[in-house]
Amino acid sequence: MEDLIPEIKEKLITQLNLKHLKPEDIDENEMLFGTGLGLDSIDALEIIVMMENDYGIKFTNQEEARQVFTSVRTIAECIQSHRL
Amino acid sequence: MSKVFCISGSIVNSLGTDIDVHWDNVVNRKTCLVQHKIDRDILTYISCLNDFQWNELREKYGHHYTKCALLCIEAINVATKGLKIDWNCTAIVLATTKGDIDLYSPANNPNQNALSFFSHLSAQINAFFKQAMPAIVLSNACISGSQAIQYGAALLQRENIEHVIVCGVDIMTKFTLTGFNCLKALSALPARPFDRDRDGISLGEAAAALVLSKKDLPFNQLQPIQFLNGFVSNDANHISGPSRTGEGLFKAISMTLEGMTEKVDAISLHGTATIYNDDMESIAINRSGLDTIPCFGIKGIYGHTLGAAGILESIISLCSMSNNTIPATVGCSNPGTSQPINILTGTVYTQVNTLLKSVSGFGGSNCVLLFQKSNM
Amino acid sequence: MFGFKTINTAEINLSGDVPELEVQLNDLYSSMNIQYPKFYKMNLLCKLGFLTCEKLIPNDWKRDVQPAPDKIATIFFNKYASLASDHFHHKYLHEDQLPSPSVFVYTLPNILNGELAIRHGWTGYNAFFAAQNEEEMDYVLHNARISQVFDYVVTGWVETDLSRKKIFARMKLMEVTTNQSPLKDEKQVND
Repeated sequence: MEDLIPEIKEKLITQLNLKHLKPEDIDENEMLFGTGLGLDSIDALEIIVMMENDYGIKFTNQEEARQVFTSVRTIAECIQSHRL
Repeated sequence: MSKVFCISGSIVNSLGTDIDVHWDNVVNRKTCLVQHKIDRDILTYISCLNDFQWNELREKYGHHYTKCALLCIEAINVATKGLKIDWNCTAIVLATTKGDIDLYSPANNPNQNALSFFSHLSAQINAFFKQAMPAIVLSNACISGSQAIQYGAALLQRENIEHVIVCGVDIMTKFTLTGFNCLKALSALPARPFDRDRDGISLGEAAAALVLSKKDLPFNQLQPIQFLNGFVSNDANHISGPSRTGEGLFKAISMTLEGMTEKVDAISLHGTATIYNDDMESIAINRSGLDTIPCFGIKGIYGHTLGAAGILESIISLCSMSNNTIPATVGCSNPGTSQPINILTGTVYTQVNTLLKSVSGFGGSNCVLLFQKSNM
Repeated sequence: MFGFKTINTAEINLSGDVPELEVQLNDLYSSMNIQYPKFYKMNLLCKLGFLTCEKLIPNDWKRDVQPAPDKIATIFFNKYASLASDHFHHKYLHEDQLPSPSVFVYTLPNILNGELAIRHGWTGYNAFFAAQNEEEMDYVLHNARISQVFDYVVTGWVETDLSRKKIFARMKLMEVTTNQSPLKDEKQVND
């Protein structure tokens, strides 16, 4: 699962156009939303698309997505659990 | 400043063009929305013309016209029927968010020229009505139509202009449907504006045309109604999310009502049926001290007609004034917004002399219009 | 009676394919010493309009004049609306991919007005007009000012013309003059 973390950080920077950030600027344990990253509702929708396109994970309700998108680590855990 | 009278209005959508039929439909709480399957088996409700209706328009005006042009020409023709219009002294203002976007295909050379759908629409309308002045196209998301009325009223102040026709249009396209779907903004049910269980919009296809005149002619042969005032504000803090405080709408309402002594009898709200838009409107209306004024929204009937919405909903508002009838908000069974406002769930028959119309849109724009019977 | 007096002008012209244009705009942003990470999220039209507006609004003007945020209008014009973003949304559909929410939200030209409202805190009149050519701008500007009072206007032509592989913005910051006596170098019009 640890190998997923840098991959997700890279993807977030590309998909969400966070060109001012480097992967090491994102703490995988920190909250993604409502913190210094300045992510908004469109970013959340964009991560939903990323999860479906790149990992085949579909979210049927927004509350479920909200919980998964807490941090980079929780996203990695979600992807990992779908691989099992 | 010359007074501005709204002398005629027309709506073209799946229901047809007869304004009396449209008004009956609104009063009788019938919806134009029908279930429709978009990409990836997603179900939503929309209102759009069927193939037969499109063919009728093509037979009537010519097969070379684009869909937006056909709807606009029909709307303007119906709105001006029976009026003495000197086209040399008439200006047209168009309002649309996406125009004929369905004509674009990346399969064609993406760098091809002539991709200006708005200029092309304006050129077709000019050619049909043989106008020298090109029709300007206003594109300000969901406030386009309302803002076109405000702009048209200013244009009418010019000496050489007797009539201004404002026409709003947007068609049903895969582009728009998939776009709103990816924003998770579409409801699986017909839109339920201001209902506590509302969960998103329904899209509608329509054109609506309103004729503005310096002469105090009656609206649709009933009673003269004046466009009194309008105001546009911006409260963007996010490009697609409405303000949480309703600041801009509050400001636009205050500025529109500045100096008014008469009370507002009814409010036609935007009511997209998204959680945040309707909450935002409730906050602004409440904060403006208008929480007891009867409010209604008609997107449960027509869907969100985007660039046409401000004009279409103004025309239904003018019908409401003419008939002294405030329609119910179709789709709203249990009003539930973050601030209490007076959303009508049943039709009310009462004098409607002064009416406020509000819209808000992506990009943080808000536009408020005020209409009043001119014998006031 | 009112007229418009130009306070400042600014212009950006770039050419190339979309990826090249993105790089050029990002480089320009970096060279201007602006701290505004949201810039990277914008589409071509907004990046272009944003940077032109940064050049247009002198810091000392904001400090000295302290214009009321609700009395500054933004009125823009172009011919191709948001075509560059429309193209990308269409491309997703054409290739049967999931569309991108962050692309779709930029498929409206007036998002530029919204971005500038967020950046500068402006809350006044805002409009985007699709026009045939730049000659129409003065006429429309005058009508817009009759439709609603404002003291200043940030206006101009902002185009992302992909068919000619060029993007350009020509903006003006103008003050609305209500002086009764005709100005020498400015067109005055009857209210």
